[in-house]
Amino acid sequence: MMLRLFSVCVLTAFVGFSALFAQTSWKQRLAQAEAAEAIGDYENAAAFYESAHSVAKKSKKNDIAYKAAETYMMIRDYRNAAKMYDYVKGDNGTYDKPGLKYAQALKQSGDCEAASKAFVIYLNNYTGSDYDDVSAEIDQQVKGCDLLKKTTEEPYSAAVIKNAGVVINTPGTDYAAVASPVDGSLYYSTTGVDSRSRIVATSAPEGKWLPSRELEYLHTSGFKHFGNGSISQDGQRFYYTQCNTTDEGEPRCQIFYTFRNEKGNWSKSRRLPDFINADDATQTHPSVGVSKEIEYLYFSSNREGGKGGMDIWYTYRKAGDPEASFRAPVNAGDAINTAGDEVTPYYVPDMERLFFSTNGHPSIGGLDVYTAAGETYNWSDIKHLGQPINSSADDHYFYVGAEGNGYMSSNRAGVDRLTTADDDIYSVELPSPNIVLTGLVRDPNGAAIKDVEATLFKVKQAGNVPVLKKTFPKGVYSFSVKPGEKYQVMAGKVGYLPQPIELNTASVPAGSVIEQDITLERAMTAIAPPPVVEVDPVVTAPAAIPDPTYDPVVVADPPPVALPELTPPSPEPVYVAPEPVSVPTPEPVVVDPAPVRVPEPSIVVPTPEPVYVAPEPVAAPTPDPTYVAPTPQPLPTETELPSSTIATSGSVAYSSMTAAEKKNLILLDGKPFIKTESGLIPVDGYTGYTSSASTPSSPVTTTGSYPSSTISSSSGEVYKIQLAALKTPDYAKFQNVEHLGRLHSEPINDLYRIFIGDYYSKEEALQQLREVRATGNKRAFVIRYVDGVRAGKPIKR
Amino acid sequence: MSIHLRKGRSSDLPFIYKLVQELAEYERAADQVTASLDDYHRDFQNGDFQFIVAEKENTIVGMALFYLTYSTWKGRMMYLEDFVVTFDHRRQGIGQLLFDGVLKEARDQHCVLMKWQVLDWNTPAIEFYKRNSAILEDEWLNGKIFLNPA
Repeated sequence: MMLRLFSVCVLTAFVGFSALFAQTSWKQRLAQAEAAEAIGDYENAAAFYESAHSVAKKSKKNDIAYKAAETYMMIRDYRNAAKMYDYVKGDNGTYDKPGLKYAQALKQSGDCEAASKAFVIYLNNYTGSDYDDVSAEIDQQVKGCDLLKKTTEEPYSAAVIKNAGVVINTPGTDYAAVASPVDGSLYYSTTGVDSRSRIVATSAPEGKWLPSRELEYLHTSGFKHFGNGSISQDGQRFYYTQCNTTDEGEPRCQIFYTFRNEKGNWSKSRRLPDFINADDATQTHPSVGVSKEIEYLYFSSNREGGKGGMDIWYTYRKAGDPEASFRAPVNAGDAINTAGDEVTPYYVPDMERLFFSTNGHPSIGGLDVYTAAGETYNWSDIKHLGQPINSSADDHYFYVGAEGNGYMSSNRAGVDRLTTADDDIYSVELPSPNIVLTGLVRDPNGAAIKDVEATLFKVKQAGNVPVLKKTFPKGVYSFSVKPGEKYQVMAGKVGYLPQPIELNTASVPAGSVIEQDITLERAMTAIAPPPVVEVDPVVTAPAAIPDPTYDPVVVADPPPVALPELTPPSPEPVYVAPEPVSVPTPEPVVVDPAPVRVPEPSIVVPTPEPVYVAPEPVAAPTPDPTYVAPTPQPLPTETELPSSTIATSGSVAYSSMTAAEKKNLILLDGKPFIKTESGLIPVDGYTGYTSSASTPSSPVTTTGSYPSSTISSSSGEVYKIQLAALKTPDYAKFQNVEHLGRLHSEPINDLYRIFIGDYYSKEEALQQLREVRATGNKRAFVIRYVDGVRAGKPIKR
Repeated sequence: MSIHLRKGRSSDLPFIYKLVQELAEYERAADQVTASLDDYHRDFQNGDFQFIVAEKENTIVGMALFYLTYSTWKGRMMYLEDFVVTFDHRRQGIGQLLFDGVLKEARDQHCVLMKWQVLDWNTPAIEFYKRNSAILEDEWLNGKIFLNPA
């Protein structure tokens, strides 16, 4: 168990009166300090202690200095705390680790260099029985200082942090600001009125914040402090805490919520059940987010059974039903929680990312904001957000909305603030390193097509690579993409002809928005080649920052391929009984990386029973046109069609084809096409074919917007995950990984290398490799390709 | 209450094996467990099954073991083979967390269906599944043939 000398106690910052010292004796000043401390007025207590120290007799000086330092630490005035600890820093016999606290105060006042030295000096002279714990703690603290040297990593280093100004911030503690996703109102908490914390709301109809009003209807009798609001994405549910302090001054918070009733008014407050609001513990910092019809509530608590100090926990319930009950809370796990404090979680379902603050992971001072990818108890990619989001002081309550704008709280000293003694709210702007492609998808009458489905493809020489498929309820598609690439957006909906547009981001600066509307013609019985859309993108200046994601074009995670719906799909219309003939078993041979390896066990195709009894009569159900078959049927291959039959332009999305149309799919030189009366139309998004990256094939000439004019080497540097090398390119045994990326193969001599995915960085590929290996494909490895040619050695970790 | 969930690791298998025996005892069939812990290790390495565990105070108090299979009618299917919460830790919501966890795994692995069996006299379990809107069928007969290892 690591040491934690100070725990997080946001609500103990009380506003006091300015201290006036008359010509009094050190004893009188000491008495005044103790009286102030007894009523929780630490600000005056600290000042009186310091004043008493300055005139005290020599034998009492150290005791008073230590008390002054401790009270300064309580109000997080690190500079004065360090000054007072300095008097007693070597006296381990009398005081509780004063040298360690001295170094910590130095660090949190912003002097990491001096702090690092003080940590080392302290440890060198330390002989206590808990030496190992102290050593581990100091190790962590020094590691945190090292973060200062490398906190320039994009995109957070380009974040703009601004004090929210005097309308919002008071001389008290101002914290937990969240904007309503519905009307932009700002909800936050403040102790600025008196020593009580209150939840207030304001809005800025004309760009300036109006004076805030208190939300008194949230109060339940018996509680003193109200704070920590979190509002759901649909604006319908509001979670917050009601708190008291124990006799020892420890905050005891419980989570409450309210929801909008039929009339749109907030309901009466409800308390979360006892199994969430545990006795003898504090439950605070709720953060609500809905993902896949489940409402998750992350919160922090020092409840029994955690990793130490405050931990992040979560509970969940069915979304959309006000009466649905919550599950037992679960600890977010070792990757997030430490022996220190983890607080103020903020979960973003769209990004599948948690932001939280911690002093248990390496920090550049006090609480620092970290982020982790994943959900519930599965987390990876845990990152320190660096400066300027983090400072030597406490940085917490990080929140960022859909527009890439958000808020956080910090007690950092700065131009506007001389001390670290209370928190202010800061606005956060995350500049997007990306470009946004957006526009309205309309019908021929100009009306928005609701629930339109759009797929983003990366246009590569070897073919279109699907990146992301999304449904846009209001008909406005929006994708965040990288500069310097070519993309295709394919919009479609049942009853309309799918329509692609192509966009080149080569000369578009990061942060821009490219607007391009798409008009979909109504579908006829036969699919005609869609017309080429002239792209005349409207590029607006990089002022609008529409996406908080630092890199949403991650092909590896989430899986880029169109995912099957979770609703049970209808079976194929024709049920084919298994052939009563044994199928030749492909002999898998692993040739790479080592020349000879133990061959994997042969795939045993079960011999069918002599009499096949169909489980039940087979009805011919209506095929669901929106269902994307996870494993497309093998297609007839035609290789000698004259190129004149190929459509001159356009392509269709596999996902928008009906089952009947899918029957007309053919493979031509490994690329999928659909046969129509007017010729062959290339099909996008069909993942069941084999692309050959390095074997030159006879080029299939197409013109128009379909990008794959030849099947040749793809350009640039990519990382692939190789699963195996087999005699036949049989993907059947890789069904358990097909959701992780596009399965494809490459012929070599008389073998086929089987790959999954194309990644633009080694890190992405290695991250996905772990997923692939977790599915049992233990021999998979990452391999680099440059311009379609294998380069370098297999990378296994 | 302090519940920790996580995906199973091979180092958990001895506990899992013990829990399986505990479940078999509850189902009054302890003598029918003939798979060995070595089998578990080999087959887990091979990716034949997955599991999630619930822990309290660093002790496993429940687990759900499952694997991918296939429905010719519906497609990818998860089969929930074993699902047990130790006796002392029942009625604390741990079973629900594990059941939700398996459903989530199944969804994340693009399954369209999850199936399992429950003994007809296991009323608490049947009630639990009913609360979870499960369809319980009684018109199917279970078929099996024991195979001697080659």
